[in-house]
Amino acid sequence: MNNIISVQNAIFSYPGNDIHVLNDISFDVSQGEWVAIIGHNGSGKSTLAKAIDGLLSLDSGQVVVDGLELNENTVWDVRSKIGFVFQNPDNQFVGATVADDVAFGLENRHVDHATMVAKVDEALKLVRMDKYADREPAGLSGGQKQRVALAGVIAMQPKIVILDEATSMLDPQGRQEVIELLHELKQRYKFTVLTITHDIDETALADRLFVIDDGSLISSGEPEKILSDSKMLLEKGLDLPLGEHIKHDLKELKIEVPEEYMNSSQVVNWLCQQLSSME
Amino acid sequence: MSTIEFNGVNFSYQVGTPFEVNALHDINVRISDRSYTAIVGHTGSGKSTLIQLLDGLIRPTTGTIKVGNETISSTSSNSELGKIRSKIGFVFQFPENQLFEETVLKDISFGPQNFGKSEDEAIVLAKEAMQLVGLDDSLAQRSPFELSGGQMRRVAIAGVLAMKPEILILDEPTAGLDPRGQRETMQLFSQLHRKNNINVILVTHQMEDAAAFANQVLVMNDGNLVKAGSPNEIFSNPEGLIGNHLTIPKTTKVANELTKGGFRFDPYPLTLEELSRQVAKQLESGSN
Amino acid sequence: MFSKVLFGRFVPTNSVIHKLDPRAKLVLSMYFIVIIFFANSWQTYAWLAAFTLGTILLTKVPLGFFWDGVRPLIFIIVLTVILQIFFSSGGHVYWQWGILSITQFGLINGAYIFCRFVLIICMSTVLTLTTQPLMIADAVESLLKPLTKIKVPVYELALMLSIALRFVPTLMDESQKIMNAQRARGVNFGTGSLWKRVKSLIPILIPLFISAFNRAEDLATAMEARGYSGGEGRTKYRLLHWHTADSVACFVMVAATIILLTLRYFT
Repeated sequence: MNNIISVQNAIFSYPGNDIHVLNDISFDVSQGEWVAIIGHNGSGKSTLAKAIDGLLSLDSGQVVVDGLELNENTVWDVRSKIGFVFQNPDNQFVGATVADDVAFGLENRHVDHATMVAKVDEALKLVRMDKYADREPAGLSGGQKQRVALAGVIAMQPKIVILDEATSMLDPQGRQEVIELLHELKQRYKFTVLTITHDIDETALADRLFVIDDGSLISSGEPEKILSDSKMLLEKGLDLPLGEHIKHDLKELKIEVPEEYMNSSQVVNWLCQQLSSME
Repeated sequence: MSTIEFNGVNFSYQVGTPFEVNALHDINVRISDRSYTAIVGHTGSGKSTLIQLLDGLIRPTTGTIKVGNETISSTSSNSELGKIRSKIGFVFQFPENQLFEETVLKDISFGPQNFGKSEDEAIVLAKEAMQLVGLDDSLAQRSPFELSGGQMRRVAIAGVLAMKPEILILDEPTAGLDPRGQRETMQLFSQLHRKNNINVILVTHQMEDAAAFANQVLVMNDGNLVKAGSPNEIFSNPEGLIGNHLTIPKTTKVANELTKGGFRFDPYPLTLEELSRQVAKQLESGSN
Repeated sequence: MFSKVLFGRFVPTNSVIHKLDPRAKLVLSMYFIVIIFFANSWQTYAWLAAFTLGTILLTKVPLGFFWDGVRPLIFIIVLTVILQIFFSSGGHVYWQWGILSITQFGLINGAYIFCRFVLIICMSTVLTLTTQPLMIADAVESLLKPLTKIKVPVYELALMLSIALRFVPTLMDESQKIMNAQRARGVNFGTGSLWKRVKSLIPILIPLFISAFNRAEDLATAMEARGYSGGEGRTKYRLLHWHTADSVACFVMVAATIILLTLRYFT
């Protein structure tokens, strides 16, 4: 498989501060992969995402996106391959109306008017916001605004989509809508996904999981492997997924539980089997 | 005493204009002293309006709200409302947005001074509050804007606690925090409720928090108070939650599935810890 | 509300006036304000008033909204009219005291000034009630386009204006939230001495500025991530279209001017 993102020895610190927000991080992401990045607030996750998009420049290290080495000359080309959805729904809504906002990226890329109208239309239909095309952002819910942001991303047909805690300011319903939508769009367009999230249940959807702590990549691998390491997750201030949480609690109560990762319905099934086998 | 009573409370925005919107209909509820009440409901269900009324930030269109011996009605004067506010602490959503002073200590002592404490008294209260929320003394003279997001949140919460409220209103207090921050924040409030006897009113989307911490749950939907009851009553009935556009707590989901598989729960578990304890008991008694 | 004071309130009734090109509406309402100054007699004012009333009726917007436009300015209007009545002289003197007098010309001038004010306000209210602020911004951009030749950054200014308009409700909301948070912390707005009142604004303004700066920074990052690198060469999603109705509107305005000038010079 081709590496679509490759980060080598990334080091970054904010001006006037010695602390390395990114402390020698290296990893590769292959084409079409879904990678979730977890870590507590201030661990450097968002900084990493911004560095990949050239929104801040590394002190040292290298970022290669789809074969292009990120530098001053390539930064706009790199950005054209990446769609970015940020955390705060309000602060990334540039357009005066929903349609205007979706069009913003297309206008920047000098797309002609007829193509633009068609693309805006199509993108809004895909995120099921076409009925709101002329609405102003003030009347929309957080979830709707993030769907518009996704439409803006889709209209550009990027190879990579990065979501930087894009669901963390939404209510449960909005969160669900955005995640489901992302899933649907990923299946359709096969783009590579990088999500930064606190929602541990959301990470179970990923192909691979990165755990970042104090600017270092401390663990990476399949979600099953990472999420069953309850000791590490708790130490790093993270949540346990539901199934593992129950297993962890039962283990504390001296009940023997299987070592391998189980999601909640697997745990329920296992428990029910244990109960019926005793009768 | 800080018992709260809503009697026939209605509230409309922009009364008397073509844009009039009725946000709350005929709310009647009693929240007893020293209780921990969770208000749940989807976005726009009227939760925020309800707590703003309680703090006297807006006046009811009709009906009255009694807070201890004080009463809020459509004709309450500003000074009456001020008196009520002095008893109530209100932690808004993303409360770090209200910080403005040069130092952490000054910001935390702002509230007590507004409610008539002298500067020295306020500083004593502020230092106590800092300790309560786990802010190190060394931060007292720092600018709040140099701190991390999580620390800023603590400063804001300390600024509310320093007013020594009898009632504490929390509007989504953990929004935007990471899991550890969320846990610590909820534990802090739970402790304040138990040790300092503060009457806590929590507005939240996190059903898990409502189930785990509250002893009374109010369910709002479209401006109506559709249900009030113990977490047991509310969360053991998933259909009722779905009907009001709420999510089902994870514990409830798992408990219901386990019940189908032969497990019995009594009392109904509201936290995963409690669920695990009862599961473990049944597995052990079976093996004996 | 602040936004209402600044931009009026758009009322979507989908009338013929609503459908006009914003450039036509902007230019014509400015033009109308200029020709009001050509009116000098009862007949001319009556004609302009009739014309304005006709336009107002065409908008299908309830008359109350126009009254809302006049009301905030009523004090200034009345004051100006009174000064005009007391300080102009000529014609029959009805009453005099020192330099103050009520004269025939004074009364006539007062009435004219009053008409002028009301007509100007009503016509600009027609513009704001039937045109979204964004469309006005588009019209301004389109009309100023020739200035790009002398290096005026018209596109950037237009984008700034549109973003400013888009963030007005967001910041209004924010200030309401911050005000509530500080009231809950015991701040009392609008009571006490002037100094106290000014001081009570600090806990609002500082958080509001900080939040606005944070938003601006986020927005700049988001714009950069979406490929914004300056106005040059950007295409436009929102195009303005000049229809026959717009030409007709211009023609009607020219005809109205001819009638006005006829009334002025030949009666």
